Amino acid sequence: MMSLAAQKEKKIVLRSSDGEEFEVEVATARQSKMISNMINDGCVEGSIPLFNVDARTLAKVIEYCRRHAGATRILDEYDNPNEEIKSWDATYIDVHQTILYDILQAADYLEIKDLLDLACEQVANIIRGKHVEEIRNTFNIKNDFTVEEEKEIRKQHPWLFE
Amino acid sequence: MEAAPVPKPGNSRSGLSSNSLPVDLALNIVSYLEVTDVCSLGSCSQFWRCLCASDCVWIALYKRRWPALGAGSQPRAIEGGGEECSGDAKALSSPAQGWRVLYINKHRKMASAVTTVIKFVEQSSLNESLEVGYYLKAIADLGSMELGFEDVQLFLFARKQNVLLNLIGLHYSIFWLAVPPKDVAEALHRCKVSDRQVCVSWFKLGRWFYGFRLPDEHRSRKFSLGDLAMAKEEEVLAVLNRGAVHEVLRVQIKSSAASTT
Repeated sequence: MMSLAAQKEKKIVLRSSDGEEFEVEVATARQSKMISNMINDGCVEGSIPLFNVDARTLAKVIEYCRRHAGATRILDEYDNPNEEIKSWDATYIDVHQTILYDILQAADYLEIKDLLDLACEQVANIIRGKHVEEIRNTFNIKNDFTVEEEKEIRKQHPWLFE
Repeated sequence: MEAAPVPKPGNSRSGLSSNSLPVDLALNIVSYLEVTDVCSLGSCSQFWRCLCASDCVWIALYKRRWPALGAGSQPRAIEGGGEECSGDAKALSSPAQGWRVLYINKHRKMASAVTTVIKFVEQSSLNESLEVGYYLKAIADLGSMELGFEDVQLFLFARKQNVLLNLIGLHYSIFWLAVPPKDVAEALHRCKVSDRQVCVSWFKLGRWFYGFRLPDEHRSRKFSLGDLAMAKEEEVLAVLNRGAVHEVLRVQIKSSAASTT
C-alpha cells in the first residue's frame, strides 16, 4: 500500500507517437479521462504510449492539463478564478490553425472534454462572420457541389440576408 | 443522418478540411455558431451541407431563439395566436418536416408579423413623431406574437429602422421580456444604434391652486437609446410605460433628428 505522500509524488510517463517521453504529475494526467481510467485500472507501469499524438501537440496538451489541474487550488486563492482561467484559456488556444486541429484531435482521443470544447469554440470563432468562399479557403474545403446544387443553395439562403 | 464521408487516405493533415473531421466534433463546432454562420458553413460542401441540415443543429438554434416555445407549458398569447400555437406545439413533439424547415417558417412568420407592426408605427407617426397610445399598442402587438429577444435585435434594432422602432424594441425587451438592461444596452451597441437620440415630451394637466387652475405643464427630455437602456432616464421610461393616464394628457415620442429640423 502506497502512502498518500508517495502517491502525490508519483509521476506518470507519457510517450508521444514520435517517441518523446513526458513525465507528468498524476493530477495533470488525470485531466484526460482515458489516462485516468488507465490509472484506475492500474495499467500505467512504465510509460503510456500515445500513438495518435505527436510530441509538439502533447507538450501543448500537457500545458493545458497542468494549468487546469492546478485550477482547483487557485480557486480558493483568487476572488475571480473563472475570469482568470478564461483569459488564460483564450490566450492558450489562440494558435495557428494546424496546431489547433492537432489539439482538437488529441483532446478527442485523450478524452479531455473541456479542452475539446475550447478547441471547438475556437474553430467556431474562426468561422464566425465569414462568407462561404472565405470559409472554404480558410479550411481548405473543396466545393463538391454540382451546378444544380449550387443554384439551389443560392436560392435557399437569401431569407437570412434580407 | 448519413455518416461523414470516409476520410481520404493521406488527407488527415490538411488543416481543418472537413473530410477528416469526425461528425461529433463537427457538430460540437457547429453548436457554437449563430444561424447565419451555420447557413454559410452549410453552403461550403456536401459534408457540411448534410451536417448543417441535421435536426440536432436546428433544434438547438430554435430553442435558443424562441426559448419560451421550447418550454412547452408556457402560457400562450390569446389574440390571434391560437392557430399558430397549436401548430407549434404539434411540431415540437413531432417535427415531421424537420427542424430546419420549422425554423425557417417560424422566422418568416415572425418577419411578416413584425412588418405589420412596423407598418402600423409608420402609419401612426407623423414626421417621426408618435403618440404614446400607438407606441404601447405596437409593444402589446409584439407581445402577442411572442417575439423573442433575438427577433428584436434582428428586426427592430436594425440600423435601417428608425429610432422610434429601435425604442419600441428596447421598451419591449425590458418590460415584456424582462431582459437585463445590461444585455439590452450591449445589443444596442452591437447593432450600432446605441447613440441614436430620441425626444420624449409629456403634457400634464395644470393643478388646481386656491380655486385657480395653473397652466398645463409641459416637459421634454432628450436622451440616447443607450442611456435609456441603462436606466439613466428612469422617469422617462416610467412615463412611457404608463402612457397617457390620469393627469398626464399626452405623451409624444419624437426622433431627435426630426425634432431639430
